[in-house]
Amino acid sequence: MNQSQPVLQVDKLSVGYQDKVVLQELTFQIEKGEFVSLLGPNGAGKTTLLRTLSRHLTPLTGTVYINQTDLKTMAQGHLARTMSVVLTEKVSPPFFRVLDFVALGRYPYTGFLGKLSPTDDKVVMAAIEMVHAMDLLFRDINTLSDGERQKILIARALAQEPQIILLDEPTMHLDLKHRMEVMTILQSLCRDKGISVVASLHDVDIAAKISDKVGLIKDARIIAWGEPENILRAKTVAALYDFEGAAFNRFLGSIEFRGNGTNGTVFVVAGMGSAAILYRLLSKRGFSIVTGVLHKNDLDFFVADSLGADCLTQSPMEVITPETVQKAKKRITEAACVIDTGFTLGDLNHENLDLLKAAMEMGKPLFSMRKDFNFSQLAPSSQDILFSCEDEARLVTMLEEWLRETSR
Amino acid sequence: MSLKNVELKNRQLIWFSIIAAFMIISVALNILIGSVPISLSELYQIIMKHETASTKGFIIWNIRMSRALAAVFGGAFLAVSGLLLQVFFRNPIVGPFILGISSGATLMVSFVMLTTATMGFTLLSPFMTTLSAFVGAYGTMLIILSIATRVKSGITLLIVGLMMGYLCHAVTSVLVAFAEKEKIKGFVLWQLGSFSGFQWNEIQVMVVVGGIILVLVYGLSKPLNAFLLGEEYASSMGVNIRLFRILILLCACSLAGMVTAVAGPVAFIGLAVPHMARLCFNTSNNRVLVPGCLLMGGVITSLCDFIARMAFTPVELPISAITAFFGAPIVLSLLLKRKVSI
Amino acid sequence: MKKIKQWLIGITITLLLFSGCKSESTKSVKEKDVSDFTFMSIGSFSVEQIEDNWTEVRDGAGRTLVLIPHGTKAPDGYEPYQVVHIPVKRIVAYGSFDTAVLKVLGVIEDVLVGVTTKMEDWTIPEVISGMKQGKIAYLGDYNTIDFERLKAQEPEVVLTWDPSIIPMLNEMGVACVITSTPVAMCLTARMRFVSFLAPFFNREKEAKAYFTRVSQSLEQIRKKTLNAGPKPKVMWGDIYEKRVLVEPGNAWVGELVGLAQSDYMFNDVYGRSCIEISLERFLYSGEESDILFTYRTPKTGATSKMALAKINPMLAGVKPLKDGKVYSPLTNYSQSGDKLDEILTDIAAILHPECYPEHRLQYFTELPEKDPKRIM
Repeated sequence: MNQSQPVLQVDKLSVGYQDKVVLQELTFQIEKGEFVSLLGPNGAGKTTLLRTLSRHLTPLTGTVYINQTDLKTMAQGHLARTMSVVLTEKVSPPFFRVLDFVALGRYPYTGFLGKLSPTDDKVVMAAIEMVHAMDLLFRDINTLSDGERQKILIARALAQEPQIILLDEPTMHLDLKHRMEVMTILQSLCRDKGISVVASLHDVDIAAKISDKVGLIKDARIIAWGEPENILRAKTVAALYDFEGAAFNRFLGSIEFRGNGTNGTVFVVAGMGSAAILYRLLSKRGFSIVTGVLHKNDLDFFVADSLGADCLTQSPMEVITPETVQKAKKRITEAACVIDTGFTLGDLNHENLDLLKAAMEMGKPLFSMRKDFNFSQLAPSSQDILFSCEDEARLVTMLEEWLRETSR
Repeated sequence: MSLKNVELKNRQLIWFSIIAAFMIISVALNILIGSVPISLSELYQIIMKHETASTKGFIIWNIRMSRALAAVFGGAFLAVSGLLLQVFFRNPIVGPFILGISSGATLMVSFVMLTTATMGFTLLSPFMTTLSAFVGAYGTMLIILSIATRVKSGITLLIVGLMMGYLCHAVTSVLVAFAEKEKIKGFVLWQLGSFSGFQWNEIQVMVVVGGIILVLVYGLSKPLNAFLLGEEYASSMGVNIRLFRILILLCACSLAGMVTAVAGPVAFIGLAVPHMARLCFNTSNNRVLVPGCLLMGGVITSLCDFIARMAFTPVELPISAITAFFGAPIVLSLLLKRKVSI
Repeated sequence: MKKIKQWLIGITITLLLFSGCKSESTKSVKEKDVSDFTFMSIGSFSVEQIEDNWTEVRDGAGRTLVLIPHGTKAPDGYEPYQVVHIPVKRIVAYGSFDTAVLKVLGVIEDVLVGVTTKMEDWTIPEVISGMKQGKIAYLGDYNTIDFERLKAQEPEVVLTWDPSIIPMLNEMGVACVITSTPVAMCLTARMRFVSFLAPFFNREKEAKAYFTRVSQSLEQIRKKTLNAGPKPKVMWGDIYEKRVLVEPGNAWVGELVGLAQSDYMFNDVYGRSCIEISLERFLYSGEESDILFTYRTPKTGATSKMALAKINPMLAGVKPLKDGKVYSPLTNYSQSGDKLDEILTDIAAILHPECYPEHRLQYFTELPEKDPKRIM
């Protein structure tokens, strides 16, 4: 991170096969203890890059430096003691206990016949401990689940005492628990052991949260390289994966699915973080959402924005202006119905009550999650189409029912 | 907590002792019992005095003993060769002849035996068949080796070996089609494989050369173990894949070629014994399996040879039939009992 | 699991039993009624006259054929490929023995239209001239028959040992007779084989004459050797690179040797012709044997005692190769099945030369010590 030399350095590297260039003009470096994620669509070249870095493939042009040594000239034993890999292929030779399997990782250190010394044993045990697999010590590896096997593969790579570990899609096929476990283990490798980790991942949100650096691979280049906080934005992620039906929100650090909005338009009066769940549910059910008035620092705004909702906003710490209220009222007239999320009323958003009143007076059906509120007092002269709901799910169900009945 | 699996080690030691004991018994059987009745006292005399002048002495020393040893070594070599190839290709149904070694040997032998060029007035040198089989087997090996260095994946090499085998078969059958009936008799006999008729100098060559190769193979147990994870993991751990490939193929083909050259193609041992060894010793660790296959291969072949000789004595049965007949059910039952998938 | 084991053991034992006990009535030649010729079994072959114009035969492989005169309809219960119209006018023969039998029956010039040996390799004059005239066609080697040429010759019957051609022949509408047997033919079966082929040509008389002739020569041999000198010990087999093949005791040679007051060293071996035995047994029996008959002719490798010894030095120690005698069949031996009486006499003369002082061997030759010097 500072004066120390990079563990891995790549200079104008092109990788690929005899007749095909997969990636070209790559130049980057990885410091000690860094967690680097490679992101990109399938077939972009992540595996090819990893294979070249591990010397399974020869670079087409350019150089790879491991600790300032040219990878081409590095002695094989030296490389084995510096770098280890976790690949995607399934290996499960018969009659292997977990212990023996991990012990294979000591290959570069053991003597002629491969007998393990007490030091080797210690390292093996430490590796297994690091991946929290002590309870699997004597199990036959053929009886392990995918998640357990992945941990063991990492343990084996650890037993090689590397300075850098390359992992090809380590969380593929893993359930949530094991995915989290693996990522935490990898993170602790970086922090506690100072091992650099390079992994190709598909989970952008996880990558964002754990990596020190990300590399976005697409169109035969690395289109971006740097801290995820800077690199991962909604637009870049969408461009990387070429999808439109979802969006990555760098503030939330998550991906939201955009609905197709064919079920009709609803106006959601929200704020104060009360509507996040409702927005998602409405979007999932195919509603097109107009919402307001939200302050720009409100959680609801982030979620709604990610979902592609039409937001009427107000700058943070400002009282809602009459102009904004007018705009909102206009939008209410276009909506099929109005939803009140039961947001807390405060000085800054008091005007949103006006919207509710307007909705009622317009005769728009109002679905509300507000408790202990006298709506009739708010709009005494309205025709009262008011539905009181306890939670989001029931609200949307009621909404859909109502829409079905009225459309007949 | 003890990391070494003492229980397993003990079990393996017991198995080693049992097999070694069986080895001694079967060699003794092969020397004691034959189609010619020789009493124990006669046997004692013959052995003590190293008597080869009498017919019975000749039989014991030059026929039975050499055959007994040939069977043991032949079986050992084939079993180790099969083990090496199974690890190399990471394929459990591979045997020592998968790369066309025996087909190449058969082809050269058919040249010698079936074409008129070598018959007639010329006294057939007794080594001709052995020599030609040797040339055939090792010639095939050289071709395979030169291809192995240029090929990326093991599957490609396997297919090359299979195709070479088929090619050799094809040429051989053409030769058979044009050959005289009398000559075919001898050729068919050779094709069945037998440890009969081994001479001491042939055994010497086998033991010396084979011994060197076996030592080399044992020394390769560490990379062999790494290879169980596949080439990519092995190379990432420091195995020189290029060199390793060549060495393994060289050893496997040499061993198989040597046995085929002198005994003809003996089926099944190379394929089945490694599996039996894995199941008995309960491990994939090649440091244990190499000596294990050696011993097991020797014992099983020796016993099968005994049966081939004695079942319908003095009529001889082909040894390949016996090895398959008894071997296949044994492997099946071992697998069923353990419910293990290899 | 136990059940599977039991099953496996059961099947194994059954298979072993069946393979070991293939004894058909090889030793016995049964005749129910010689005068009427109603039923005769010759080893694996059999001939049964059911009615006047209806004879059923079984060939060496146990296949049934029915012989009916030309122009009559086959009785019910037979497939078309089982029907043979007699007398057969056109026949193909694989083996030289079968061809020789045709000569015995006196029909060779008329009926033989196809053979599987080249003209140069024949010694039977009728075959040679027939091939020269173009009447008898060379159909290709025995394992690469040219079926088109065979069809062109329009045979009615094919005598062969190769059952794999049967489907082809069925398609062509040609009857197939398998003339080989699972175990070696005994002496009587060999002699009586003519009687099996005879009904195909209505030549029972010739068959009987042949049988009488051979029986008489056997009688002669028995008489002549009755008071002969010591019994010579005889081996009949050949040495190949590392293996040995011999004639089993149930073969006709074994019987003949016994008949001629000699000991056949492999009487205890039972099976088909050319059976492999252990080297040590060959060596052991060879220790005492006086005479060895080989399979190979001088043309195919049995040139001299030294040559045989070189092929397998381990067997150089057998007595015939040292100070005994080795005899090889000549080229005409395998093609002289019609002269079986002479062959038998030749063999007897070899066994007891003292009983046949002026006999000159026609079918065998004694091997010299060394190879004759090659004349460049």
